Amino acid sequence: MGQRTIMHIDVNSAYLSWQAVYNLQSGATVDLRKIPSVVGGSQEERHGIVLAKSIPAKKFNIQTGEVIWQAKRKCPDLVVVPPNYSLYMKCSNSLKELLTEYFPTIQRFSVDEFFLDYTGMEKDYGDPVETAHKVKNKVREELGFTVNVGIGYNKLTAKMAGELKKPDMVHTLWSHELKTKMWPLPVEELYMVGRKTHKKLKQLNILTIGDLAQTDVKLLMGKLKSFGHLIWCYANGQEESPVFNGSHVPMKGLGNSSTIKFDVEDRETAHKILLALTESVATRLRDADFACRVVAVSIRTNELNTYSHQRKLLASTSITKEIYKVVKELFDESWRGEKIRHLGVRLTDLSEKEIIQRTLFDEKNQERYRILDETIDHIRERFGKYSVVRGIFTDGEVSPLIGGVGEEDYQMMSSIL
Amino acid sequence: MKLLRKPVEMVAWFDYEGNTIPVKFRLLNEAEENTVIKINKIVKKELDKFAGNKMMKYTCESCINGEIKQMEIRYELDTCRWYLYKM
Repeated sequence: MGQRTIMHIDVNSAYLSWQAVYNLQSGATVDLRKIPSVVGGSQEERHGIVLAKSIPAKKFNIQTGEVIWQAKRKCPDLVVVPPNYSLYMKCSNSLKELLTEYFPTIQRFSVDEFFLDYTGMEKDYGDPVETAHKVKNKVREELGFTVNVGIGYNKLTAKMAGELKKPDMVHTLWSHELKTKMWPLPVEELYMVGRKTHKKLKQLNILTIGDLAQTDVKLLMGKLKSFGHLIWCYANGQEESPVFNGSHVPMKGLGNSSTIKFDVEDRETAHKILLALTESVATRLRDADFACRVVAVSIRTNELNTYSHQRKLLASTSITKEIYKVVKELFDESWRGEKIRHLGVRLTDLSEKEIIQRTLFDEKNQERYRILDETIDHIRERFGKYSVVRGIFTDGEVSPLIGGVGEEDYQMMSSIL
Repeated sequence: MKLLRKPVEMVAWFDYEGNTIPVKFRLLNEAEENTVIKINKIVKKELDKFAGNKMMKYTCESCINGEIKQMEIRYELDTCRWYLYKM
């Protein structure tokens, strides 16, 4: 097979520009993209971090993920708008619709990122750079927001190319351009290199992507195991995954977590929140037709220390009650009595729901609980997710289902290309 | 034309092909009275998809107080609401 041509489409400061365009359409006079502004969660509920920022806000050195009051200190006139996930979903869908007019193979990588396979289309549709410009301009004219298009010979280089300079640009990153365009960048710009890896690489005196590419892979594998090999390949532009049509990503696990409005100090309240989280996550598990074998609980204290605890079960399960029992045990075993700010429940080691190994120690009424869960799921699907709730939540202190962004098909960013 | 974005009550006509044609509408004026405006001519019809929110834009002409005026009317497809957007 010859060299592939892959494009990566990325919306420039997605949440913010979508909100800005929407506001302009509904008659606003100021363009959020032209003033220092951020999209952020509400401060009262303590979800107060910056989710997206405008380019003028960037000049004040405001970082995504920063706490809002910190950002406000950097720029007192900062405009904060709440997130609106149903709007983002709508924008993302209309972008996808527009792209399907041009390309047969589209992978929605996250709500604001798409991969396209342009291989073999050059003959009929012309130079990829020209096509990219055409698509980019069409998006701006029809949908009102700007995108960056990256063109490369695999998904990784396409994605890296899209990050080069923003906004409203088209960039290429072919194999002969790797050394001049990608290697001089600081290593934390590379896909999959986050805060922690960055720190480790710094200790090895690896500062740019070029340094990483030229490091002996054995050294990296010694320090970072298989992940070292992965990022070394990425630094050298080696990546071979195909563009999946649709948004298919093989699921390895799923979880829900939430920052709580108040600090939790007692076991009962924590259990209640964990139950609400378990309800959400178990519903999602059953909805995807999976059963899980490993249950994990994570706790973040008010001093922002995070720890987690997990256990492998005797047999796979998808029953809320069984999962919750383990969740409670895990929590009781690991909690050291601090004030809790954030709780999470995660399920991994998934298998098909149909094949469940029975054990001698199964709960007596397993089959009945399974039917109960199925019925509850069914009622919630038909009459809304709060139509049946557990009695323990009737005091209204804790929401009966916690986790997620409240938008059904919302596609989160993934770490698998 | 000035940006107004006033919600209006609309009489419209839907044809076999699914085209929507605004006929006349009424809105509250400054004195809180209903004024009816009849649309004499549709100059242009366009679909606006900004931010994924579909809106049908109509540029029309009407006779108001003996004077022909241009205006823009919008129909928001998701909510089925009509707006006098610009006049």
